[in-house]
Amino acid sequence: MISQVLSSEWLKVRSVRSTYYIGGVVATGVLLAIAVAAQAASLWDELLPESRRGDYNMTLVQALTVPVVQLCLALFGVLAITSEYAKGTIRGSFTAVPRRGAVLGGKAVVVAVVAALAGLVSVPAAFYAGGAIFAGLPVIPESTPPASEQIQLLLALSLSGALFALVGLGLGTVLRSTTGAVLVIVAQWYVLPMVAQWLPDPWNHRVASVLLSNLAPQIAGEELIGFGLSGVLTPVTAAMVAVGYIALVLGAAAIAVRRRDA
Amino acid sequence: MGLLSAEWLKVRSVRSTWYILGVAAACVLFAAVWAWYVGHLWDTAPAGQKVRQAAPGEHLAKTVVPFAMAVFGVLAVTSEYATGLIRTTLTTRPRRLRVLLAKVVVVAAGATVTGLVAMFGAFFVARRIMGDRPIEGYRSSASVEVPALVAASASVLVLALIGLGLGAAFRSTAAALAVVVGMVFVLPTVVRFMPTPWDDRLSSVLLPALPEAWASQPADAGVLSPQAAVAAMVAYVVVAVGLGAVALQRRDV
Repeated sequence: MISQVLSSEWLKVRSVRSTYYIGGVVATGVLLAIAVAAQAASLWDELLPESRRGDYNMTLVQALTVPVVQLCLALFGVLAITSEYAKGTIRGSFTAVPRRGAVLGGKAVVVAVVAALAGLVSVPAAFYAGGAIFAGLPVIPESTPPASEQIQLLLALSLSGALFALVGLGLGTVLRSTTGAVLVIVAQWYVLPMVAQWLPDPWNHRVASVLLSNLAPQIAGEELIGFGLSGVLTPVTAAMVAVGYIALVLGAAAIAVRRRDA
Repeated sequence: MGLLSAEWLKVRSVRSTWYILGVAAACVLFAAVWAWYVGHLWDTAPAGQKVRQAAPGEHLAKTVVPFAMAVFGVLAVTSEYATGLIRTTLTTRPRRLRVLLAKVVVVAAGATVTGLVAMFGAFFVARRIMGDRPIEGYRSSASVEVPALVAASASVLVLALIGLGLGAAFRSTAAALAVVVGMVFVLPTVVRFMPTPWDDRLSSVLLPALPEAWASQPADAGVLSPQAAVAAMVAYVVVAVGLGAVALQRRDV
């Protein structure tokens, strides 16, 4: 039965247009970073020698591609369930598979796999394509950490899309509304980091350190973005917080689908 | 009149409207709690270690309320498509542009009132609670801040109508919301990476920059003049609602 649930969820994901639109926006996020890198490289010859520090590192990808990927995949996770509630097909799904937890589990597996693959393709693509554009330039070496040292960060950022997608799926299930789930995601991704900055020390970095969008760099052992602090959360703690988010939201979703009418 | 009262009834009778108004009210409440909290810190800290500056109480409202009302505008159209009621609406009222116009009037009225109440409410509540504690962010005279609050309220109206237009153009809540999030939250970061002078030029015409450009007196470099900012706001609304009107007129429902 498990394989049937999985294949039906995979069919649903494949057969809605929104999946492909979201894929298109993810690709745009990759192309943006590549275009900015190409443009910067084309200006190289005009730069003064002292400003020719080719620091093509993760910053550009982290600022341009990763937020687009995270938001897109969160929306992907949300729509995996709310589109069924909006169309009423959720009743058909639950009639065919009365074990509702299994339907949710099937969705979670499909969403996680698709989002992980999308992240693992798009984020490294932006990073390595941008790096290749800079490869021929006489880069001042000390400013650019070699790609091999950033592999952990690259992996964590690539997989952060799956974290967002699973949280989106759980929120969509609990709220049964595309709008509601998107609002919560936007609040968590944009509004809370802003409010966290206003809090007095040490609450500003304590709150910021557990926000969804700040987890991936900390899992890779990087500084907390916006504060320049390292070690607010250890990599293991940050990973546990990420798992905690998924467990909390999907747990609430599992309770919600069992208890409520469809 | 029948059309207007029908649209008004629709807006009043869906739960999402009340949730969105709840978000706006929460922003005012946040301003109060925030001002109380900062004031409390100021009162309890020993002399010499006092808070010198803090985010103004209305800051959260300026970010959140325009976006919340954009969602309101989107849902004013897309919720009808999602439930299929748009077919009933357009069967009883075959002149589709009039239906859209009625929605525009109702959404504009709702957004204007909500924007003004939220912005001025958050501002005055926070100022009242802060009293005369000398904290940067709360010291400018109210008359200096009024143009900024009016501009912020206008941006609430602008975002709501953009949401309405995009909702009619896309007929899908998710698509319209994605575009709004892109315009308000993602593009401002993206254009920062454009080559000079295009970074300043592009970011000056993006939605989040417009209210401040309107309210600021001297035109800085990379900021539109007040007249140009108003024109840009109007242009956004005209394009979005225009797209919605064309889509509504041309397509099947």
